[in-house]
Amino acid sequence: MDDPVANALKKGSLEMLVLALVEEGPRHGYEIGKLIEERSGRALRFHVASLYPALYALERRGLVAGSWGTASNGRRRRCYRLTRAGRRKLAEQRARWKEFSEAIDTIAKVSYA
Amino acid sequence: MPDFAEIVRRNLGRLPLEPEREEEIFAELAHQLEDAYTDALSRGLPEARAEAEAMTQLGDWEKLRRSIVTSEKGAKVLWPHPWAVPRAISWLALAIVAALCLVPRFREAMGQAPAAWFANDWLGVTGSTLHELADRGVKVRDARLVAFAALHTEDQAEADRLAEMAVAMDPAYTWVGSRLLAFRGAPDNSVKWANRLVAWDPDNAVPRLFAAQPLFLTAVAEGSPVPNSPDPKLARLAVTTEWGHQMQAAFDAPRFDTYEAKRFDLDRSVLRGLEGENSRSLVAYSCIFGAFPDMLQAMHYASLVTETLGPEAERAGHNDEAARMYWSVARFGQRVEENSSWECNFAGTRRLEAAAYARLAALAARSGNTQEAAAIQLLQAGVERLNRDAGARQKARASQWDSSGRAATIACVAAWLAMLCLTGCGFWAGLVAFRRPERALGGWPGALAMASSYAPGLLLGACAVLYLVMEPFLRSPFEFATRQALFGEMAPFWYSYWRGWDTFGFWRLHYIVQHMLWPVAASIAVLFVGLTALRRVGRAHEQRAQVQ
Repeated sequence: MDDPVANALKKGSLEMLVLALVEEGPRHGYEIGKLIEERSGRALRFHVASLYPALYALERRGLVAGSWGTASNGRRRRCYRLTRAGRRKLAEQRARWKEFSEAIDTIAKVSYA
Repeated sequence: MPDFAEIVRRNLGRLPLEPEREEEIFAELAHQLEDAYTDALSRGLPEARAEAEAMTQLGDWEKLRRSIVTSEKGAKVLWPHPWAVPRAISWLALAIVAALCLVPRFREAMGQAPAAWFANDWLGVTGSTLHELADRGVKVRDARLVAFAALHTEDQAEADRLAEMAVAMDPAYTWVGSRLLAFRGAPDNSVKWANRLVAWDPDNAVPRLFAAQPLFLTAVAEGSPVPNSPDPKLARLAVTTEWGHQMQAAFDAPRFDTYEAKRFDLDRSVLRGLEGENSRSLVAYSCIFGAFPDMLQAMHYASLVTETLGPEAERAGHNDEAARMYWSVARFGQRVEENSSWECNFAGTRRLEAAAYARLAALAARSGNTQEAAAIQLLQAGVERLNRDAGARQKARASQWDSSGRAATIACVAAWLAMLCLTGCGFWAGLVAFRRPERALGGWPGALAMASSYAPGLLLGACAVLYLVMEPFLRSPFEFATRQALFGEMAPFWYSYWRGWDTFGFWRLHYIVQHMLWPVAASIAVLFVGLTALRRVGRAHEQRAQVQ
């Protein structure tokens, strides 16, 4: 994804993707990165230099809360869970994204086969 | 498994965060690498490949470091910047500069930068100070101070008035009037002071030459005679007019005094009290030569004597009269050379002197005085040798000016850099004092902060260069007994240094005040309004981000 438009979309959507993944339950950074990659069919892949700063910014803004715990592989990991403010923000972002993507679809006449 | 915690710590360095938070981030990133490494191993990759793959996740450590701190602080660029000079080194540099400032000569060298910056084009005593000195001199009846002001006041009418006052207080300062003779376009003043000086100092050739100057210009107004090509009309003038009378008196006068020594003594006496032992104005004034008359008329006259009047007397059989005339030219040449310091006149007077000696030697030989003729020929040879060597002396002086000019250019650049760095140090010290490293500094202020951390080190370097270059020229000008000695030793460097500041003349304070005050004020106002607006926008943006 070297296309600047694609990069901007990717960057702009990272926050919503992270919030959506931690909504399902507490997750650590590596797991979030892997899930984005897997669920996007490897279309989306975030660098550590983007993912972790995004997590820290979300934590600073109180949208996620990080705490140390034990991961599924038994190792000690810092896991992030969604806060109430994060949940509201996610709902807001989902609505905005839906509105945005529908508008784009209408104008660009994107058809889904 | 590689020690990823250590790898992360080593590559990220210290983060401007609370230590606990920093540890947490290091651990979390190390775990990220561990997980990637384990994953790679589980896919069957060998350890080295697995480690390489894990490390590709991070890429640019500097970018990661900046992104982390930006996310944590909500600002863009990090300060202290990783490229910034460590504070300990900057403090050490400042401490060394402060310690060096305890050395008086170092302090004096440092003082030359602001002194040149605040000075006008010429580093002499300012007009207002001269005015005060004159007022004080009148008040306490100190003719010395009034005479000094008369010597250095730029306004001709004021200089004339002050000179009159000084002479009225003490006629011994009549010589100060010689300064008025040097002004162009003031024939009335010139004649007035020339005649007064002739009356006051009748044994001196210089006032007589000044008195003869306007007469010469009037006498030759119709023709344009050149030296060594005697004009018969001029020859008549030489014997029949007042100009000839004054010239003969000048050539026969036992002294040739441009009052350079008196002027230097007066400058020393007043400036020692005014500026202390390190007076730079005294060096500046050493570049001013004494009151030197126009020597062209003297060369005309000498040429007439040796080429026309003397030979005519010889042909008429008045050998004693002819010898007297030749000797007057030869001795005049000697006196000019002994009592003045203007090399460019020497070539002409030496040539005339040599011509006079040649006539005298021939006259002595014809009279059968072979021993006298031989002695005069020796004198002639000596004068001619001096003239031949003048080129080499000129070259040596030019070379001294060149090397001093180079040193002065280095000093100028170092002085400017030191002043710039001092401003940078102020900015840096302000940041250190008022902005905790835990708080990030964003955008161009962050870059400026990083750059300012180099200021103390650069200041030390600039000060060291400035001191080393200036050290040989920091001697007290009062160590020199004559103006020539002071001029020869100190003027090449200091004159070039002050001229060097003219290269940066745009930056001189008086220039900024005179020409740039309003543009600078307007720019500062625009900058202030712009920065305030930007700050407000930034705050509003931050508040919106916090609300979100």
